[in-house]
Amino acid sequence: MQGVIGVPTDLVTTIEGLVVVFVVSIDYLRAHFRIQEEARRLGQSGEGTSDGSGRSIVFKLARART
Amino acid sequence: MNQFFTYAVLTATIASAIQYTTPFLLAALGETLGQRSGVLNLGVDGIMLLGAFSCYYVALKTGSELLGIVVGMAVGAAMGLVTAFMSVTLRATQGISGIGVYIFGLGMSDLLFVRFVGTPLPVNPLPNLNIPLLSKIPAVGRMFFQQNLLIYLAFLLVPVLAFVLYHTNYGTRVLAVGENPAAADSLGISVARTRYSAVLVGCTLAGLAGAALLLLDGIFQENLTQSAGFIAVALVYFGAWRPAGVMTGSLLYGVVTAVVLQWKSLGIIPTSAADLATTAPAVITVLALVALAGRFAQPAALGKAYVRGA
Repeated sequence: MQGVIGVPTDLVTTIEGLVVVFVVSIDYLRAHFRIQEEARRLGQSGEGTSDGSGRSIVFKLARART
Repeated sequence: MNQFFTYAVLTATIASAIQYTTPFLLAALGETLGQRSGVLNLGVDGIMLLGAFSCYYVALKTGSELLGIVVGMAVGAAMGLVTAFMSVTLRATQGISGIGVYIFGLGMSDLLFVRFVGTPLPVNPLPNLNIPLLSKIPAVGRMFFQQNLLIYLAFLLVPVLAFVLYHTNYGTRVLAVGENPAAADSLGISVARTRYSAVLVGCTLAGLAGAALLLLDGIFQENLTQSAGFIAVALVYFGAWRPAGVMTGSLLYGVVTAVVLQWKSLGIIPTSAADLATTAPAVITVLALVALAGRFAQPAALGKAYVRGA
């Protein structure tokens, strides 16, 4: 298909490299957002914290993730 | 075979061996610094390719090889920033992210070459710099002291890197971060900053290695490095993460390459076996690696992302 639509091989290789880099790097951001989301959810329900802010949960989740 | 063991041929072979050694030595020394800080960078080859292309393009357009070298190093540094950001800040799996950088460098250098240059035109190789008095010594002068600036720089970097690693505060910080980042962190050493700086310097040297490789022949082509960057990574293991060991490995590789090429040109190796013979340096390096494997311990935190309190 690449040959049919005339995409240069070099461009495909470059994009492949970027995809690999992106996929490997995105894991950190995904985990980061997951923690924030979880903290927000727990904060709203007031679970696990005395003031209901969810701050201690953020810390615990960050520790647990690592 | 007798024609090989003549004064002129042997001198020329060793002089070329020194030249072939240089790109491997530069890249491997940079990788040594990075690995000593705990960061495994498998993207060296891609960075070398980008460094080589930028050096080629700038030298072609401006006519200044030195400016090309500076730009090649700058591109290496920029790629180092990307590599360090992925490995240190984003804590990406270092092996796979390095392969990503390699593929990107391979594709991008070729894409830029086809887009901006097209027909390969030669640039001038670096002129030889004769060291006064030493270059006049028979045989030795021709082999070692009539080389270009990058060759002297590469071999000078060996004691410099050894001194930095073993006799300076910065080197101690790099070694500490590579062996036990938690302990280093508890002593107030910034693990991230130390690793960033080591990777940045290492990748700058990879860019310089690309430029050195390009200026050997003065012409760029697709996949110019032919995986020299991966050989450089292997040479770091071969040299047991020590600058002198890395130099020994690079010299071995350079000598075998030069001898094989010389034998091919003299017809000692038959044409039918020429392609097979080209793989000799890599095969010998792998065999040496196998023989040395496990005798030296690698930096304990090599390839591991550091998370405070983990």
